[in-house]
Amino acid sequence: MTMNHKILDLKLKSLISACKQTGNYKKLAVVGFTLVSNIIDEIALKLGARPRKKEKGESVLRYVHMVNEIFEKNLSVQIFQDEVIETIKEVELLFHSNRGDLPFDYIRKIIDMYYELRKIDVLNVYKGLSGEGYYDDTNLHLFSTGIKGRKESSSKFKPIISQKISEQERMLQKKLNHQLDQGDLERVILLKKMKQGLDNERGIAMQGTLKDSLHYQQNPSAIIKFMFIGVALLSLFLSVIIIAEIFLYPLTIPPLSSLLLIFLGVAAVIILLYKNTFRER
Amino acid sequence: MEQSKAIIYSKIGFLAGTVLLFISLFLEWYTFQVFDETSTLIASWSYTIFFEWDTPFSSGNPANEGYRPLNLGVPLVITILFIIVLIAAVFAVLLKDIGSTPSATALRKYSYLPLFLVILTTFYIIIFPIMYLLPNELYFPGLTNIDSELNYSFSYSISVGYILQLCGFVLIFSYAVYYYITVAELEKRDKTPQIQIDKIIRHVQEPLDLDKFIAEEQRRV
Repeated sequence: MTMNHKILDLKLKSLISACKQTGNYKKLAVVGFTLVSNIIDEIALKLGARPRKKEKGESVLRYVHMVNEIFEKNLSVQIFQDEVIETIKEVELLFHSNRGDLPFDYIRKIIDMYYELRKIDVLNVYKGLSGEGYYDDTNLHLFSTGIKGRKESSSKFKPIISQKISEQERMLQKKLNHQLDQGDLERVILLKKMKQGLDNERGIAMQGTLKDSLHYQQNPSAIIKFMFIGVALLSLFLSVIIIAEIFLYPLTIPPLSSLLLIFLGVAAVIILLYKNTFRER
Repeated sequence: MEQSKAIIYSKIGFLAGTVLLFISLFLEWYTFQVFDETSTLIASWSYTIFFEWDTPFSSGNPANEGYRPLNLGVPLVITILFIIVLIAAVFAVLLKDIGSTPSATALRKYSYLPLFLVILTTFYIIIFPIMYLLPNELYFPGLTNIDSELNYSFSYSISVGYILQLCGFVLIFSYAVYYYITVAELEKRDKTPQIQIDKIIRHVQEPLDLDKFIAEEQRRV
């Protein structure tokens, strides 16, 4: 449990006892409903869904259905369980028709639901999938590397790989529909990617290491830049030392001035070269 | 040049640079020699970072002893730190390769090592002449001074150890900076979407001021 959750729990507890004393359950209903609405927004957004169109009056129930539909269609995984949907259906309708006034049992129900939703260990798809440790309990890792180089031989194994992936997928989907787990959800998404890779006839596109990162691929030109900078810096360092020496011992000006000019010249030429070479890019 | 080859060459350059830097510690960095009117060498002193001034002459030579420069006193602790950082940087570059590691965050602490090695090399390149050579009238990078009265010539010059430091700097600089910047940028790329999504979540969620609600209810009580 995070510190924010702990603080929120303490505040919620204080509010419940205060509302009990005043009998103002409407406030508790509003707070409970807002908490549920917020946590659903958080889960859905982390899973990559669009934000709820509140300004167009999109209900929580419709939004939850939309999220479930996406994940069922793509991964055969149900994010929000039927009981949650049922409770939202009941509570939301009543909440709006009674303008925030809910019977005490419903308030309890909605707060219970908030804590149930908070238990969901949701994957933040924006964090990216590293691929590390995904196949610990399988032999799929044998197929995840080196496939490009062995296209012909791998095509013979394609049905076996496909079957293996499907088996793993089904197993994980069953597990996920029982209880949502971040790791399992990541595995399912990755298996889906592998399956798509097999169907594409281009091998499996794995984003396993930083080598596959677009940024890393583009970056090597920076090495040449840094070489230029390194040599220019060294020339400047040597110039600085000679300038310091000239200040300390003015008699050294005649023998060192030509050397100073050479170093400064080298630095200037490299800086100009650097500008001409890399500014256009 | 193919881009991936540039990385490989630069990495090889880095490793070669560290070898040069390591060797340089055991070679002479500065040489001071005195020649008499017949151009005979009468005094010769070479400076090594570990052993201070050393001479090819026997210890009983009065002319040679008379021209012995003062000890420069470069802190040994910096040299030891340099060796530790150098070895650690080599291991970081060899074992923690950017291309084969799944997460940039895992490389963060290792990316400082090559950069720190560059900083220490810069210390030797700049600080050694400015703080230790020049105050002792040991000219940089080299100078021959003739004493008109004695007709002696005094030769001052940087030596192979210092030159290897310069070569080492050029060789290690590009990969060290590349390693550090790439890791930093990859890490930033990994984190940015998460920061953005957290912002969107905060924006989408309805604000709930529980303190205000509690205060209102407590006032009613």
